[in-house]
Amino acid sequence: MPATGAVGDGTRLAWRVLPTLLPLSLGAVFWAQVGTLHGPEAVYPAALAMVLVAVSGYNLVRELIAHRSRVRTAVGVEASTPRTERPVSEAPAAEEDEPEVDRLTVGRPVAVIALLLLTLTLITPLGFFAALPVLLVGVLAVTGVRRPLPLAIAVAGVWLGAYVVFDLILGVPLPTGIWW
Amino acid sequence: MDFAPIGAGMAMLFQPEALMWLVAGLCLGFMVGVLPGLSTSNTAALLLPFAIGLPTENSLILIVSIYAGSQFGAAVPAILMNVPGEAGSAVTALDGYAMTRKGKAGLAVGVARAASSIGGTASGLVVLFLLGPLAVVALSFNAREMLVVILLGFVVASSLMGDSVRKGLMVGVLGLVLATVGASPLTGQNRFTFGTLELYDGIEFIPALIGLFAISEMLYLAARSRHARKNARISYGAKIREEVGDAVKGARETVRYPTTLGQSGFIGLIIGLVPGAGTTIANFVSYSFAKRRSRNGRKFGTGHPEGIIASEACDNSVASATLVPTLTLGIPGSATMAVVLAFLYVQGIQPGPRILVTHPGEAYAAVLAMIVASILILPLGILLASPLALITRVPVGYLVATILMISLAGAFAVRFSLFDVGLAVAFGVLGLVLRLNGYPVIPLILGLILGPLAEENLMRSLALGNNSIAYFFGSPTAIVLWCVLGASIVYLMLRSRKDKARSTIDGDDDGGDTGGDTTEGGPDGGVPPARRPDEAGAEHRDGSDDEGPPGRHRPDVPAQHPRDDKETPDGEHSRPRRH
Repeated sequence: MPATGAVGDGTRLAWRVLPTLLPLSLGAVFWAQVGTLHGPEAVYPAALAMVLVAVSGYNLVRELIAHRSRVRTAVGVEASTPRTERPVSEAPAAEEDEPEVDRLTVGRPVAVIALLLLTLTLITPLGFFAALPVLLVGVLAVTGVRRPLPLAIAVAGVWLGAYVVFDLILGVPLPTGIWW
Repeated sequence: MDFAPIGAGMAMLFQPEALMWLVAGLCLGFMVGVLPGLSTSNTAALLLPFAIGLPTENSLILIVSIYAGSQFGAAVPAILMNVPGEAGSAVTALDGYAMTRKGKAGLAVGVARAASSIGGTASGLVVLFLLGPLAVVALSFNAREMLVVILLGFVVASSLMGDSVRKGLMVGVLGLVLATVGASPLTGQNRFTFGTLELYDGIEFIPALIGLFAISEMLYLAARSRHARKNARISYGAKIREEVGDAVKGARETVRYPTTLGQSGFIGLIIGLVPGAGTTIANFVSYSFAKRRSRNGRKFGTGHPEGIIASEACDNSVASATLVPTLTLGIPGSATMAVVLAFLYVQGIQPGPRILVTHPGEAYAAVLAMIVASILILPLGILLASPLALITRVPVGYLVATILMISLAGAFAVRFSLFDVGLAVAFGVLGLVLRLNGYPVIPLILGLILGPLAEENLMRSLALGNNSIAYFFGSPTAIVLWCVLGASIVYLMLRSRKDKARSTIDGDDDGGDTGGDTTEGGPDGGVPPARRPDEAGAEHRDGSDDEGPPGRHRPDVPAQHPRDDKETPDGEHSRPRRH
């Protein structure tokens, strides 16, 4: 992973605690909603929501502790290694196991997610087969297929394959739109 | 023993259409094993919406034959290029790639083929005769025993996956909570739908499966590699005659080590019976065990066929064994079996002990299909070896685009609803976030699938016992199961503490967590990297040889991982994934 463009500690921490915040929030929301339920069937989801909040809270605390430990170790290594002896490319020992997440690496899946959402939005007015090229061109470009001819052939091939398999062979009634 | 159900299974399997699906599944399985980004579980998840239209037995035959084929298919890139196609094949790469370097690629693939075939067939035969007696035992379970069994399978599976117990359990509980969305099983009261009509039936687990397995994997691939073209020259015989020659030599070499073959198959069978353990754990255990027991132990990792046998016989054996908990208890033994379980529910078949009473033909057809597929690995593997090697050169970008397209179509095809497509994308994003942070995703699926079942059994038990807690301990079977559950929890907690203590000694307070991108595997989360030959089989630092998931133990020296080994200029190396 290139060192340039690497994300900072704050972003890294946010990324690491994100998987705990999502279930924690969900558990809290569900716990708040339990009051709208009645009877014994409210007990089971209430108990689960409570357990989820507890377990995800525990995971959050552990991630925060681990992050603090990594930061301390990194600072300790930097302080103890004389500048003249420190190789340019040395990474702190605590981060050996952790790949550097840089903007380039983050950008691609974000772009693909954006393409998926865009395609989903376009399916309603345009239909599945009309919106599909948007997804295909975008994903292929993001993953490095940018020369016009291979791109065009790939898009045409996948599109045609999708049409033959889903429409002609399987008969799946995919959404239609104004053009398709 | 009653052979009638086996006969019913044979009658279903040995039909032209069923056999056609078996062969198609096996070939697809080879491709799945070879291609990065495709695993049996995400392929099965993608096929699920479309397989619903097939007869039940044909769909089951298709999925299990894909599973069988992928276990061997994954060995091909592991041997030829040191890029395991599946996580379990990381072990195969240790000796397989070393043999390729010595110019013995053909022999290595031949050994892998023979070992896969023999291991899968033998294990399948054992499972065939084990299924009936186990189902008889499980038939004696009523609601309270089933509840404990579900909890046990859930706890064990969630804890064994991912970087640590706490992560797996958190994700598992998340799945259970999400499973409460929709109408309650007893009175139909709407829960947590927030007024959304599409959630009244709950969260559909097929779009969730597609999102967590397929879309998240594609997002990960998009992050890790650009347009990829494998430049590796594969000096591997392209002619059928050479393939046959290699196959014969490989088979001869394999049967020279019957002890290793037998013990690897046995280890795979036992570990495969444990929900969630999977091929990765089994292969590492089998390899380490074989290395210690073999007279040629020192040669392991340097290109010795016995190393390949230990791995390949085991993983195909696991594949057969995972059918047992899935069919008899309704608890999936692996990610692929989670898809099989989802499929059975969608078809209106309740997996569990009664499946051998209500649908014996389908259940035994699946087991027999695994056996026949394992046998056919030999001839089909010979025919397809060269095309398989070529498939590894497919640039990843094309794969990502195609799989995403199929994912959208597949998610839509469930209820013909765009909401499900959005759900799949949302789960895909969630899956990516979880996996990149070392959280497994399979417990989420387990929670979604088993949650309603657990709640139903809980409610039924409470009704039968007049809301008395004592009812849950009212039978010897239930007491034994509770004790096993308790012992499992204690064991997992002690293990977690041991991992934490070890990582504290290493100067990392992360409690055994290996941090960010340890999700080298598939949807299951963390996968142990392949080790260098000189440390292969090295005892774990806690002195407990090969106990539990090897991936939890971080070696002192950086382990060889396929990605470390001469990454091609365009950065193409997809991590292996679990089944």
